[in-house]
Amino acid sequence: MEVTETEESALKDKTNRQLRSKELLDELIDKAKLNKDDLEPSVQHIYLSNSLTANEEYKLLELDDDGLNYLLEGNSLIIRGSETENAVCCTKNATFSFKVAEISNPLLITSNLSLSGKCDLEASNSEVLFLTNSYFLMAKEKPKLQKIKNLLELNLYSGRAYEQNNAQKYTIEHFLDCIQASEEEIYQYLNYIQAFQIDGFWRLLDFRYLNQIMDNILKLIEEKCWLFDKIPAKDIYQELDSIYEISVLNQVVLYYFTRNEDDPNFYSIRKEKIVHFYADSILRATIKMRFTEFQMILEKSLPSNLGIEFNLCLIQDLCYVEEPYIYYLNVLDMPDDLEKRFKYLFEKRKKWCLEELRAFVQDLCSNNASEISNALTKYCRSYTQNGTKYFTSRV
Amino acid sequence: MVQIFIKTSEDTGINEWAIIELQGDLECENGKDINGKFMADLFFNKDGTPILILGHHVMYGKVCNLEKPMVLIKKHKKLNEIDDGMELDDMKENFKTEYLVKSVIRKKILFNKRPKPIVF
Repeated sequence: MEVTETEESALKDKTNRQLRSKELLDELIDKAKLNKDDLEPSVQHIYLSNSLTANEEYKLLELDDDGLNYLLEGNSLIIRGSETENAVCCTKNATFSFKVAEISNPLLITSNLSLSGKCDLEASNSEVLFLTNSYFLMAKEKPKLQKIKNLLELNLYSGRAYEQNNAQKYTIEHFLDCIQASEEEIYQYLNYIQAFQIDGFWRLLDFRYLNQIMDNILKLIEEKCWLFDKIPAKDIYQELDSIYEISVLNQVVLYYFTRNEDDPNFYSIRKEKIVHFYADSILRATIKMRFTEFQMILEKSLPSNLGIEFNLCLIQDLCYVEEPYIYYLNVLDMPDDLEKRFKYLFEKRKKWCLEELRAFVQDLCSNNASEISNALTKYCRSYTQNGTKYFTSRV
Repeated sequence: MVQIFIKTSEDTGINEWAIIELQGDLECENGKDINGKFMADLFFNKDGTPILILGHHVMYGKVCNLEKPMVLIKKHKKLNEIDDGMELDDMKENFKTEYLVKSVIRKKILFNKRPKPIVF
């Protein structure tokens, strides 16, 4: 800061405030019993800014280094929320709670402050721009995404013929405006629930419609004698485009097949996903049935030469077995809050074993073993019987 | 629901601001406007200890690094971009609130020792 001498020889600086006189300072130092020899020669005069009390526009936000670097690289943090919700703060791929911390000590945010006292100037002015007892802080949290599924279920897609013109449809922008989550997490969830992009809008397919498409594709594969690991996707589109939109067929292929690495024109069927799909189809229609009967019907529904043996672990997020019955229970229908989810599960069934429970909570635990383990410890009691560990509600 | 953006501005990199943390409340003369008023003189010992003379008190403090960095953000009303399809009626609510990062703060001066009174 530059200092200019005025006629009255009262020193002023750029802020047009008088620098306090040397005599005054010397007196202060003396009265405060400070030893001038121990002091750095420069002093800083701290003023309150002209608009300090009027200033409702400043906020203090605590970040971690990653968050700060994210901002400094030119990205934006986005606060998302309404009056009735707790706000969240999002980066492109993560969601954080956005809360206020209140402390007893006042914090004075001061401009132009040297923190070493080693200053070129003998005297300079600083301004307190903001005075506060609170700051915002962020903590990583799991976003609530089920609302997306609820919205999409209001207008399921069953082909162009059944489209309702005035039904609400959603793009990613719509979701960013009403879902408290980051963009990446929204896309991941859309993929998780197998949403389709149709005419630029995100849709969920009516299950029977999807079932029909799957039946047609599998029938075609059988008719053409294609190998399950060498399916020409283009031919599927060609053969079926009179009945179904190519973009829909393409997305079905992307969800239920994988592209071959050695020849991108061909795809391999994802056998576990096909088993899961047909098991879903049977179970949701019956809800409860004899396990043996279910296995029989499933076998009949699947292509005979699919080459995969049925195993309960393939459909663990769809059902549970209590001999002799199998019960439909789909993870996609469950609450998206961990505490509520455990409550829901224990209301369905008093005790669960680890593999069963894991399948129903891993989506809320980032599929991470230690997160799952922590959740089980937090929300469940456990005991061992006949060598098997069972989990029950804590409540 | 609203979406409010927090982003950097031209000021972010330039400003070097700090926090002074005091213990207890800042007392001001009752009823008087404190805006623009002088607050305190800040000295440093040659060993780096900050010394604050505020009113009738002298306080010794220490310079600390913040455990986590902080940013000072300032509210800013931004004019919405005008869409081609926008009618004049839509222009009523054409401001968007955003926050600009005015500075990054990594250090503070903490004065939490008991202040010593100055006798004038």
